Amino acid sequence: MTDPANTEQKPVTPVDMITIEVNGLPMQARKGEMLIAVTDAHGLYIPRFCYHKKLTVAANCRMCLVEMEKSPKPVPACATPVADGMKFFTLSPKARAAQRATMEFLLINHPLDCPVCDQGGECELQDLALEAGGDVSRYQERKRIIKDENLGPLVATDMTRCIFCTRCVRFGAEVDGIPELGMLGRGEHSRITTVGRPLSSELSGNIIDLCPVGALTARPSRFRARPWELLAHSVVLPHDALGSNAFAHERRGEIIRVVPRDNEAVNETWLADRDRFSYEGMKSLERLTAPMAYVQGAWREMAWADALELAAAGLRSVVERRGGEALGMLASPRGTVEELLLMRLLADGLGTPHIDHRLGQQDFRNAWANPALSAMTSAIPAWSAMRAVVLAGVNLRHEAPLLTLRLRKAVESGCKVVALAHRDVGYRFALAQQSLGGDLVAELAGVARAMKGKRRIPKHLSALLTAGKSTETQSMCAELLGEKDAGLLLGGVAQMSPLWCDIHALAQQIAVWSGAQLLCLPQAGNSVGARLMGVLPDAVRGKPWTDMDPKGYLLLEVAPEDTLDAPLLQERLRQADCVVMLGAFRSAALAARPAAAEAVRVLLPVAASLENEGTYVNMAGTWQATRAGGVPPGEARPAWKVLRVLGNQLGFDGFSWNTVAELTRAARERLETSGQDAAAGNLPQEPAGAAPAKGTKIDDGQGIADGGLRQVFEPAACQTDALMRHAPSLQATIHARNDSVVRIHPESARLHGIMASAEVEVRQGGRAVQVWLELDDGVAPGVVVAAWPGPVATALGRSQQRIELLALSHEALVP
Amino acid sequence: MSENQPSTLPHEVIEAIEKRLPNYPENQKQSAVLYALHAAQHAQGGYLTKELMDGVALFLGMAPVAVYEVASFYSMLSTAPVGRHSISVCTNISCMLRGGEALLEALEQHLGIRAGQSTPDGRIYLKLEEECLAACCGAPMMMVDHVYHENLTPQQACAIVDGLE
Ligand code: SF4
Ligand code: FES
Ligand code: FES
Repeated sequence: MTDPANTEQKPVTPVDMITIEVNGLPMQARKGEMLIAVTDAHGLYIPRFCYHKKLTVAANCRMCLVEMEKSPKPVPACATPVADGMKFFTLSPKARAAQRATMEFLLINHPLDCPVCDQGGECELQDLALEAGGDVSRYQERKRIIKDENLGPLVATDMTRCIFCTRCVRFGAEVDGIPELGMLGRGEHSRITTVGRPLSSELSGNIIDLCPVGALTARPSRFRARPWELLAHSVVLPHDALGSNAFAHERRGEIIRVVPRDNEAVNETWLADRDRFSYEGMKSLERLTAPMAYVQGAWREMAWADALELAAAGLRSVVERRGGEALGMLASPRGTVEELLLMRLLADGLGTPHIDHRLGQQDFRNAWANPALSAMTSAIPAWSAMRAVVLAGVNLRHEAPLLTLRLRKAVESGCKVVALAHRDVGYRFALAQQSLGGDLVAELAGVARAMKGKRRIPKHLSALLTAGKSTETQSMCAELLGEKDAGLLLGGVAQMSPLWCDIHALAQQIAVWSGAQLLCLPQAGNSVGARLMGVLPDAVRGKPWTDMDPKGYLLLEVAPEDTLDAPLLQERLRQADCVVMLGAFRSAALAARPAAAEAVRVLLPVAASLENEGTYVNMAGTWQATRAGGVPPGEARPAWKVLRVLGNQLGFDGFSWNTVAELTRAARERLETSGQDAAAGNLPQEPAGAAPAKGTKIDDGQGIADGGLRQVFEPAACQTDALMRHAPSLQATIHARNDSVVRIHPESARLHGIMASAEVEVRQGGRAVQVWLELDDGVAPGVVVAAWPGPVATALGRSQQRIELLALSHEALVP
Repeated sequence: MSENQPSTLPHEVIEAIEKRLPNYPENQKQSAVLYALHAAQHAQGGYLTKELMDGVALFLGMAPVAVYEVASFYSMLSTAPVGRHSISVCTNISCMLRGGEALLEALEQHLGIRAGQSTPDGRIYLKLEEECLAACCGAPMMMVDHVYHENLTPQQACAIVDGLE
């Protein structure tokens, strides 16, 4: 078996290189490589069904038979390792005869229903049948049929078409690590099945691409278009920090589906389900399709010119009456670099120091504890070559699903992974150790202590690194991080903590002492870009989003539920005199009546991410350009155009870019002149020993010592951004359901009088929400885990606060 | 996400598997799957339930579907209740050329069931599509509860089956 993970990385030494001959042409190859990989690399196509470059060789379909010199029988190209001087013929009469015979067998039981099959036009079987199929079938017996199963809302099945290549089965077993599909039965009675369960992997959509026939197709886009009607646009998906590459397939302005675009440095050939199916949100009825304003007590649609004038006048009047300081600007970290640059320039023009994109953070005591700062150092493929990784405060399955595949590869070749977590999230690789303590400050302090040795404790950590004993897991982490190629990864759970700056300071010290790499996984697809464009409060006068309380707001695709304290922002928006919001979706909170009747409210409809053109900077610091995959609905326009015209309206100099490319250039120039290398993202060095400012909030996260409960937010699986939240198929999956419940350990529940999973009320200060509580013995004691964004997070706000649980029905009280 | 349901395997099955485990390398417990399924089937009285297969999967650290694959592949394992006596009629190449298919058809008619089914009285189980049983020189043949009967005519085959209680 070839291991795709290893073949990628092995350095090619000339000693390994040999020459073979295919169809009379010489081809260079690595010794022992499979013939089909050699011919693929040289652009010569050999028919295949079961072979896939990312899967092990199964050699079960026999479609790749070719003639080999001195071999009496044809050989399968996918399972024939090459040696120097070998000669092959892929088009000879003998090879052709073998391929034709294989095809005849494959078609015996195939329904030949191409006209009603969604794969028609892009089907490997259809294409090859044209080439190697007979005109007349000699088969007269009855064909076997297979009953379809319900695999859930994303993947549709027509199993009668299956040719048993087992690609889908191997994907589950080898790549994803969760074998859900299997081949049951034998011979003619074989069938591919999950045995009655819907798929539960968050990467399940990949089997749609892998299936060479129409047995597995995408349910949301099924029967919507034929492949030859579609135009492919290269897009980048900003749903996580990887920025997966994809093609948006468009027909007459509408995106019909999204499929992966190969990029070994980012997503290989895979896509997470949420990357693949979020496009459905673009057709939501909740889209904003015309500029709207709240004037004299009522919402009205209006023309762009009027709306922009109103917006500019509103902002100008706040500045004129109360100065630039009275204005606050919030930008989505999923906006493009170009849009974020414009936000920055507008802030400069309006004279406000209050601008922010760190909406999933609440602890800003140390400005250097910015997740986007530690990113860019880490090439994504390097994560499959790690030897030791400590995952702290992260749910990687939700935050960067494809990164789990890289880690899984690493684990397969011996990497040790330890999780310091708030709950067991069910990674599909073995953890060397997992500690479900839930208190990250204590955990990391323990790790630091275990590796400290004779070293001096820096002053800024003296309060955190008090004497004490490290647990076994903490010592293990300390030891592992000292190894070569070790990494410490801090995720969203850590970044949302009220003690984030302490966590970050400890993690940094650990990285210094151990030499391990520290990665704070950026929370969104362009957090790094937002940082590079300076969408951050002024170092001296500016306030982070939690503390700014302005009279006027300018929002770029930010709704209250996108922040860590929705009730707070919602109230501030209600109170504000002027709110100008660029958004792709209506938001209930924004449509709410302002407190004052004369207040100005303007909603400007903009393109959703897949309709937009621009650049995203991913966790590795790579600038990735995305193209518009579809046309925005109604009057909606790309946000960069809207912001540019707003700049004109406000009379600012230099707002004269006509294309995205000009803006991209301006963004790069800005970085160069500010002394930062745009490509590598060469960041200014952090001052040594930057300490979390003293004092504040230290015990917010620790209210459990006395048996109390606190909530912990973890990044949601399917609620990450507005587009995703409006995608119906995705919202019908089990993952979306999991986002809407809260979890608790049965033991902790019992202490609070709750004996069974049931509907409860969660109370936090004056805020409360009713929600389904699930007992789950993988949760850390004393905590209640909720998804952010999600209904509970939106109602309560702020991660890691004290809460109380109240049973709402009798059900909860009986075991 | 807790997948740690308690094992549903009967005690004697666990014991039987555990006795066998030392035969395999420590990190390849799944090698014992065929044996484990046999033991489970035996304890259950002739067939494997989903609970038993899930139990085996949990015990050997395998994905449930991988165990179902094995159980459904081998003809000596059953995933549904079957008759007391199991009859395998070979229809592979040598037997086919010598009338194996006619043999099977005669038995189907005689018993009133199709291959893969059991008689309603629970007496006979006619196995589905049996492959070469390595008695080609005595083709056509059938196996009745591990006993080979060779060079059969349809009449002989029916008579043999009638003799089973
Ligand atoms: S369902 Fe598709 S991918 Fe899976 S085995 Fe059948 S043909 Fe291959
Ligand atoms: S591709 Fe070689 S046997 Fe299937
Ligand atoms: S073919 Fe029937 S025993 Fe071999």
